[in-house]
Amino acid sequence: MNDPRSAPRCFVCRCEEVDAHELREAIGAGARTINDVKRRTRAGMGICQGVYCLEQVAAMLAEETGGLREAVLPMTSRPPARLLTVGSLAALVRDNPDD
Amino acid sequence: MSERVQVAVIGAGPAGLSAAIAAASAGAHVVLLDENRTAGGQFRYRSEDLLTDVSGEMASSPVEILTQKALQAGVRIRTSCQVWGLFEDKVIGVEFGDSSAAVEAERVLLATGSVDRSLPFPGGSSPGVFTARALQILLNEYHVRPGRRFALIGEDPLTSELTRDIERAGGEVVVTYPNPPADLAASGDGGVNRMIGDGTEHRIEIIVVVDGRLPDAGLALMAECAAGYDEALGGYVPKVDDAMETSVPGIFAAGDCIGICDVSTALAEGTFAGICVAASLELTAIDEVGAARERYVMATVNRAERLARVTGSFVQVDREPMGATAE
Repeated sequence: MNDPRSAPRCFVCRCEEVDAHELREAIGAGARTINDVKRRTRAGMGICQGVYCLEQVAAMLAEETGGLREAVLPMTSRPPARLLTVGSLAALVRDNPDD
Repeated sequence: MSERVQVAVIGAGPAGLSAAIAAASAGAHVVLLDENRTAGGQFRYRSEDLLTDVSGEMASSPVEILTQKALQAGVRIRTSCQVWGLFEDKVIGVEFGDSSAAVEAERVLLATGSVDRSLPFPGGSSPGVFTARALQILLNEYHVRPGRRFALIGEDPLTSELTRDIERAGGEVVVTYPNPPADLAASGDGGVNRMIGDGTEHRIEIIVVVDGRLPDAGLALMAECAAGYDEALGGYVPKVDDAMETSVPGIFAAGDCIGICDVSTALAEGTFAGICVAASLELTAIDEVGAARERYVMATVNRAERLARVTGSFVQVDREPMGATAE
């Protein structure tokens, strides 16, 4: 297939160093949603939280399964949406002991 | 630190700034939060000749003018703070410096903007490979030119602006591929020196991926705002009603985060959304919303279609099955 993503060591998720081959393998093994792919490969779980790769993962899911792109739901969005230090979270608890 | 605010606007780009100004001008107490060191969003790094198209008044320095207007209207602007969560009852998790706060807002207005779309290719994670806006930030905000010989991959409305930015900074666009070649690959020693495209080797130092923007809908999805996929809007976006409120009462949204748009649309939509927020707090008469909507929609031809799309009321034509012949 004439796709630059097919090349070896072409990282789709650069934070977790997941390449297209691994992603296709996960889809081949039955992953059908972005959450499935994420749990199997860690794609989207790095410091950028999928900003860089999940659009590509969604497109691959649609391609590989023959489905429509709009049928691929986004990753479950959970806090923290940005990189945080544990110290800053601890401050939140320390300052609000009753919460 | 725990605090309560009346209106929290998340994102101080064109939509967020204009929304904060509109809501505060109607009498709302507004806090405007942004993760960057300064307010302005894309105004910080877009070329000035593009911005003259937005409004004559803003020709010189849109960031200063908007920031000044916001401060005069009583908006509290907090920069360098990251909003990392949006929870039930409109509680926002914010990190200021090295400590986090839970801020409870009566109304939240999401103006979180968008991010560059990426393109994976071999060597694409080397230093020297940029997306378009990342390069604009480096060139126009930090005044750093990372190399001399540039390759542009992909094409979007930003291509000609970006080419001007590169040339103005003393760089040269050596090669442009409007469609990414299938054999695209970069190599080099600790950076990029060579790029292969369609079997040809190019001696370049910087590769710029120009492939449009994706709405940043993370916080809206975290708050479980109803969302849908619309390719014309750039992907998965939270849906709003005709008063810019999402499916979660009290959470409003405007600008790129509900669908990619141009700067002037983001500004006008922010103003409209700010008025809607003020009306929901009964600071503005409810019929003012209809008048503001008219002003927003009437400004240019494509605004009505935009509003119909972001509200999800745009009539979608059923997709033909693959291989079917159109009548």
